[in-house]
Amino acid sequence: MPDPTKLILLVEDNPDDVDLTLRAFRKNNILNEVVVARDGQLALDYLLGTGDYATKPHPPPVLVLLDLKLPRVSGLEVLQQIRASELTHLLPVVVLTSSIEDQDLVRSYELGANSYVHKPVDFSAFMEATRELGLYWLMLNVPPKPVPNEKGVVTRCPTTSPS
Amino acid sequence: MEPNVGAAVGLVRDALAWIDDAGRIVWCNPAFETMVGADPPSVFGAPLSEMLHLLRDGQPVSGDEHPARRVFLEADIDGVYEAILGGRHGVVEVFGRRGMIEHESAAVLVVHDITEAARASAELEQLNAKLEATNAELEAFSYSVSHDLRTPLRAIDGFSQALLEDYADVLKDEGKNYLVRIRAAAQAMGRLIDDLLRLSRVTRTELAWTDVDLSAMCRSIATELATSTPTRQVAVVIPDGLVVRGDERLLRQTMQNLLGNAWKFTTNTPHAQIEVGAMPSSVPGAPVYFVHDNGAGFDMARAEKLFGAFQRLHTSEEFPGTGIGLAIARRIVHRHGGRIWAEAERGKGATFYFTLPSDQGSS
Repeated sequence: MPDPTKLILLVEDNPDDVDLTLRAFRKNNILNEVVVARDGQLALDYLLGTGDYATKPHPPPVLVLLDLKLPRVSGLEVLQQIRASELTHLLPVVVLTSSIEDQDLVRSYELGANSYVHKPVDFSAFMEATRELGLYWLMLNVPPKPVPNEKGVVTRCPTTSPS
Repeated sequence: MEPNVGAAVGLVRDALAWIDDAGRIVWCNPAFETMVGADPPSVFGAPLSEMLHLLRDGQPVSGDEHPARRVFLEADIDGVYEAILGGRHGVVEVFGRRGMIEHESAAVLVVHDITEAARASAELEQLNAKLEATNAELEAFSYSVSHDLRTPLRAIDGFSQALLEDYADVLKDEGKNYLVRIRAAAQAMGRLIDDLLRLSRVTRTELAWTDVDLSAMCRSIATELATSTPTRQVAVVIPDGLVVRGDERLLRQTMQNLLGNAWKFTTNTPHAQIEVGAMPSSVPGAPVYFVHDNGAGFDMARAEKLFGAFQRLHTSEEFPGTGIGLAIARRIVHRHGGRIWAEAERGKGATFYFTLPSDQGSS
């Protein structure tokens, strides 16, 4: 049973896809809290504690599901900035996208995505993909743990290397 | 008796002008007079720069820049200029050499009218620019299609499934069936989109020419087909040593399509047989390759529809498929400079033939 204290950040602008993904989680017994960011800028604000989240709580997620086609800041840019910041650079990011273009696939891996999953048109295939994502990333995978450095600042360091 | 050089030069098509070191015309040939639209008496002794009006970027060329001066400064010149020739705009190439003629410093200039060639070249550049722009648009279109069209389809499929699952108790069988059909239609449209994208990708891709072992490629495809339908028994004959020149990825797509079709259309055939091979053709070194099956075949009278995009000669109940495979195969073969055609008989089988020129043809 997935640990409900583990939070998932879903970065997705399309409301249909948001609802279908949330439903797929529920149907697959993934009961983790899901925070939804509707565009790239909001996702970064949440993760880095900027903008609206400078004064609002933003508990860190254990997994980011990232669509590529986003308003304001694109998915690839979000990925780039996640990897560039000490606060988030080890965060597991799964790119979840409609695009089957090679350039997106290659660029996502180049920028440090942990995984690239297609959103299929067929919903049962989508359900299956979601179930497998949940099973792997929330149950099997060992996420990096936060460790304070000598200045007492909490950053992310790996305790074991994930497969 | 000295040959009459003057008369001979008079027959030269290019315009010729002999000038002194002050840039005045000592003599010129009739072609020159015609080109600059001058009357013979006024030409001799006149400064060349006043007879031959040249422009660079729309500005008149004069002084040391004009070939009449440049040839004395640089001894050997070659330049392309816009020109006003007898009232009309044109483009010329001017060659010139300086030397001594009868103990006097002189130069001879040849003026070559390249207006037509320049125009053709400019047109070609324009067409190329347009082609690049169109390709870039196509690229952007395909990219957004691959993302944008699938999203609403996913919603249609997803929420239909949600209705089927979450509201099953209030739906009658007919209602559930409607939703099943909505899902099937959305998924079919998804496959059509994928097929169109594949077709457009074939046109956009740059060909990477290598030697390709067609025998090995066909064997690996046949193995894949057998693995995906393990209950089927199909006799597949592929000779050794079929080597062609082309783009590996695209050729693989072509053979996957042809072999996949042969596999598919022999589904209901007892003792199914597929044969790949090469026959000599009228062109040495460029055989005709073929894929033959003894399956359902098709009606030759309808054969011209065979390679059209989404055109099918069987219903989807008889055999599944969107009808894009042969359109893609044809486009690939054409990009390699080859031809593709088919022969068949209903109930007896089909043979697909194609050629791949042995040199790197145009893409």
